[in-house]
Amino acid sequence: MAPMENRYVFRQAAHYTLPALMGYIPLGMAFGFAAVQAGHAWWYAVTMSIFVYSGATQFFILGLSAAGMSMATAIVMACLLNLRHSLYGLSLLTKFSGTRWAKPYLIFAITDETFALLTTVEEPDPSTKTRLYVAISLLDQLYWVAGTLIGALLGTAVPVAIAGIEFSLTALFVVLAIESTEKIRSLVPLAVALATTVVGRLILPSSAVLPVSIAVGTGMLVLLTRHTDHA
Amino acid sequence: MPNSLVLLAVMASITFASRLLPFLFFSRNHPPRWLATVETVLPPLVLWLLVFYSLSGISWHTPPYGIPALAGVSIVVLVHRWKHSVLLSIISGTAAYMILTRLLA
Repeated sequence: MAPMENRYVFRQAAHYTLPALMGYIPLGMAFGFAAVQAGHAWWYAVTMSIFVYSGATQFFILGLSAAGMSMATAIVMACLLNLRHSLYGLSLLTKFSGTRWAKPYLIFAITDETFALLTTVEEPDPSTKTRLYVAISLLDQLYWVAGTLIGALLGTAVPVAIAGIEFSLTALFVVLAIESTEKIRSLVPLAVALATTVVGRLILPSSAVLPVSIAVGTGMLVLLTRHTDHA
Repeated sequence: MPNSLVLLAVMASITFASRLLPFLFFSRNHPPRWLATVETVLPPLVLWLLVFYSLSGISWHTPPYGIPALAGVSIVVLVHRWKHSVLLSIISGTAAYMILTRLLA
């Protein structure tokens, strides 16, 4: 392809990804900083942002070591935490068809922000579609990794752990919970989560509360939504 | 360190698998409807459970009686409903938590 056309596609992608730049650099910094504060090396934080590339999962990994969750519970939680990616994938099946060589990376790079971008930019010309999607996905990940690196280096420069920074994990989960709740416009999952946690903490050993809550809560929601489907 | 690298590899695989699965199973565009329903309802459940789980280390009977955490969560909820900015919500909630932890210590 003509290099000029490539430059045009790249400029277009840079323009589209501006909101992601504003979001991913600071959030990546927050993650990098929190990772180093939690006792990880700066390169570990950066490696996570390259290979895991999921804010919620990465913050969750930081919380794991702090909370002493068992590996089995951690794996189940991570699967459920990532379910929304599958949901995004379902909506991207058509968009990603015909992207050939780039498809594995495009699939790997699905995030909340990139999904939002790819589904809102106007359908590009078929000849440039693949390159535009790759440019958007790559730029988004670049912002995330760059933010992580900056935050991790800042964290290394602050020698004393800042007490309370770990609350950013809870805060991120609250934010994601609000957004997914607004999407379905129902407080039923919140109510179910609260009920299973409270009851679980009264009758179960503390390590069993989370896995049992997930199993029971999922069952309750499947039953409840099957009912509302007919309404 | 090797332990945390194994953890990283496991988490990276799970995350990639979650992105890959729909493309493996539905090469045409007809995913079953029940799947979409389950997948919309599960994320809020899991995320709220994680919120409560991350708060489970708090002791409610000794000072500061979980006040910093409750205030922090409330501020995140309010600020996020107001501005819908992920970063602003996280920073304001965490700042409130840190300040109250120090004031009530």
